[in-house]
Amino acid sequence: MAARGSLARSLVIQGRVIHALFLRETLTRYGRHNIGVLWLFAEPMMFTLLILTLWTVLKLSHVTHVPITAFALTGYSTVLLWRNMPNRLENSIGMHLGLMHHRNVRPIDIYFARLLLEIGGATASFAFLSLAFIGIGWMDPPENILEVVAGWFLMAWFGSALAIAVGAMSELSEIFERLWHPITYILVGFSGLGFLVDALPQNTQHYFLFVPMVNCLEIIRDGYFGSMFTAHFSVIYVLTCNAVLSLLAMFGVRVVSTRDSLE
Amino acid sequence: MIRFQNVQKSYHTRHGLNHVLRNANLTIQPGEKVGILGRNGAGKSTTIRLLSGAELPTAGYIERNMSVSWPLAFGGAFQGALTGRDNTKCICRIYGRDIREAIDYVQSFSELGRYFDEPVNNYSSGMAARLAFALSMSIEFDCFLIDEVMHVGDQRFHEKCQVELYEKRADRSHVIVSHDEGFVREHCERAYVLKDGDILSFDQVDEAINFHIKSLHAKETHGVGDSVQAKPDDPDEKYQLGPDSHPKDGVPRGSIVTLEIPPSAIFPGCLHEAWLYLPADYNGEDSLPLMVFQDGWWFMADDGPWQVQTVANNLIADGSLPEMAILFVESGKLLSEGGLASEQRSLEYDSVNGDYAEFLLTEILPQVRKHAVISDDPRDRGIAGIANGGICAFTAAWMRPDAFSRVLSMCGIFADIRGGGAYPDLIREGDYRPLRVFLQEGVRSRLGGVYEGLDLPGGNRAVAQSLAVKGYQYQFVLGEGGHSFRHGAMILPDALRWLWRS
Repeated sequence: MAARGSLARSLVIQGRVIHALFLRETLTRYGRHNIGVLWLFAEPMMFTLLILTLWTVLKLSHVTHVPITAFALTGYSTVLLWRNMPNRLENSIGMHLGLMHHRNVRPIDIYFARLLLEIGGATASFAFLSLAFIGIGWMDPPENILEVVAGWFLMAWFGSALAIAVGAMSELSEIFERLWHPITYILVGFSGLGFLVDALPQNTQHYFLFVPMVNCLEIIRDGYFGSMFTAHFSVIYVLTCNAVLSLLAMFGVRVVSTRDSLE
Repeated sequence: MIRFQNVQKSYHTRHGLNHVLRNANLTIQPGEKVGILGRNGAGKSTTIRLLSGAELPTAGYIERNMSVSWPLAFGGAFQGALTGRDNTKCICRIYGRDIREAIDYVQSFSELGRYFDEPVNNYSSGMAARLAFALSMSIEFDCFLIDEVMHVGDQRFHEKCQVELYEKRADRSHVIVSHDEGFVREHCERAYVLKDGDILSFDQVDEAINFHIKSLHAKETHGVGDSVQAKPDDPDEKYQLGPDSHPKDGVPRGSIVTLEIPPSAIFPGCLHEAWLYLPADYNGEDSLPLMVFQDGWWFMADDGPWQVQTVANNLIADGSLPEMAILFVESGKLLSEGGLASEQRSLEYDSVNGDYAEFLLTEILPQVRKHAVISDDPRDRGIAGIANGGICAFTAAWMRPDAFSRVLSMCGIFADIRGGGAYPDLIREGDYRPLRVFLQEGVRSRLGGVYEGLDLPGGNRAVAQSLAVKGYQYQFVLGEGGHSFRHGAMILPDALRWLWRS
């Protein structure tokens, strides 16, 4: 009974702390007076428009039946999701060491607060732009919205676990921090931003499906315009990846929390 | 209660593991006022972070069933881009404090006016400190971590803070972590001293302070044979104690008597400590020459860097020194509240007047004479010291050549802290005194803080030049090191040989 009481109490405290940090982060990032929040929408919008322009100019719409707006928007929005989260968590503990003097604030709270903000921002941007493009008729509504949500959720989970693992590693190793950015650029190329698995040579598809982001993106696109192409993905594989990465992330947080150098 | 049980804390550094706390135990009871003293680098801030929970121990266990404040001077980690109000809200949310109530309190207590709604980045440091203090008072803690003498705002605001913390919250525990012994003495019932990875417990604050001050004097010391922590490129690294500074088999050892020094009339309000070395088998009747060391504990200590006792044993045994008494004197430790030991030391050592010599001759020497017969001939009297103690030794002999004739100054500060920069001129223009002077200095010697920029090697050179011009017997040895004991400690046996040759 006592144990349950104290667990409940701990959860209340942790919720309180994450809430406080979330508001603090939101205010700091988007401010009361600045337009930072607009970037959340501008970036994927610009990318989508650029792709659309290219598509139109090169007249590629004759070559394929893929609805290009939905293709570009889903591609870039998901990149935003998994790419920005690790970047936001890198060195975030070092920057917030002072907060640790409030005993209830632990590294995991800072991570969660930042992730919540990041997921919230990316989701809002994705939802808003989808609605906007659907509204002006450039895009059809998703065929299976639940599948989109499920894919988005898996992607957010993957991004969060990756972000925490990367964040923890960046506190521990400067070299890793430097390596991470080039790795990100390479990963973007393999993330499905610019391709459908179905369009790849058959003998390479198998390899691309080892990338969890590709699977998630295929799920999302399947939900959006699944009738137009054959989606390739494995939910079990993504779940396994996410679970393993989450374990690694939790281990990383533990190391960072008890780490011997907070200075 | 907060309890550290066998707490260890180590950090990885480029030079390997640094054990800040090795096996620390401490207990803070509810309502207790406890001081934690330690020199810079002894682990005070680590202890604070462990107390506040900002860091977890490497090993051992910390039990904490009081709520503990963040370190007050630290402020609570403001987000500079946010306003005082938003920062207040954030802290309230973290601690589950009612926001409206807290904002009213913080706003009125901090006296920030319209700045309360400006980003904290726009605050002056005084304003930030006021906000920080008000915030920490708005959350009710069982235990307050006070990590510095708080100088918040003007005098009136400072008093307001004192009332708020020490009167209104007198029922809480206070942990005061400071290197300012006066502050700890004023507010604490008992104290811990951090030293070499241990937390030593003292029931009396004064005992803790005395211990702390002694370890301050020993701050660069390493026991004989200890591995030396000096950086590899430290020019002082090459200076190591020679055979005369290590105990030798078959050499009889002198003894140490602790002297009882009554309260001084010349330097009132202080506690003075002194010890007397007597040569082996002293019969209590022979008249002995006397050598006086300022900052005496450091020179005398068995585990200190100078090993004066051992050097004396060895040099007396081989006939380089006469059988002699050695007096080790500490500068005064203020008994009053809030006084700075370093200020008192400067007053005694740096002043260019006869007070210190008078103090030695009239207030200390009578105590020495209770244990030994001391020669009155100035040729049988030497006086020595390092840094401020070095100029002090010279000043004593300069002012009282009738009492001292042999001067040993290591890294003497012949510079204008209290007028000592005038010595080159004073020596040239003053009457010749029958003194023999040994000056040692490091070519890289310099002081930090407010005394940064004083040309210490230049001061010693100028003094040496004036001594040469006036035909004094002198030696000036310039080492390659800095303002350090190491070169001086290495050449101490030879310096004493030269000083005391007939």
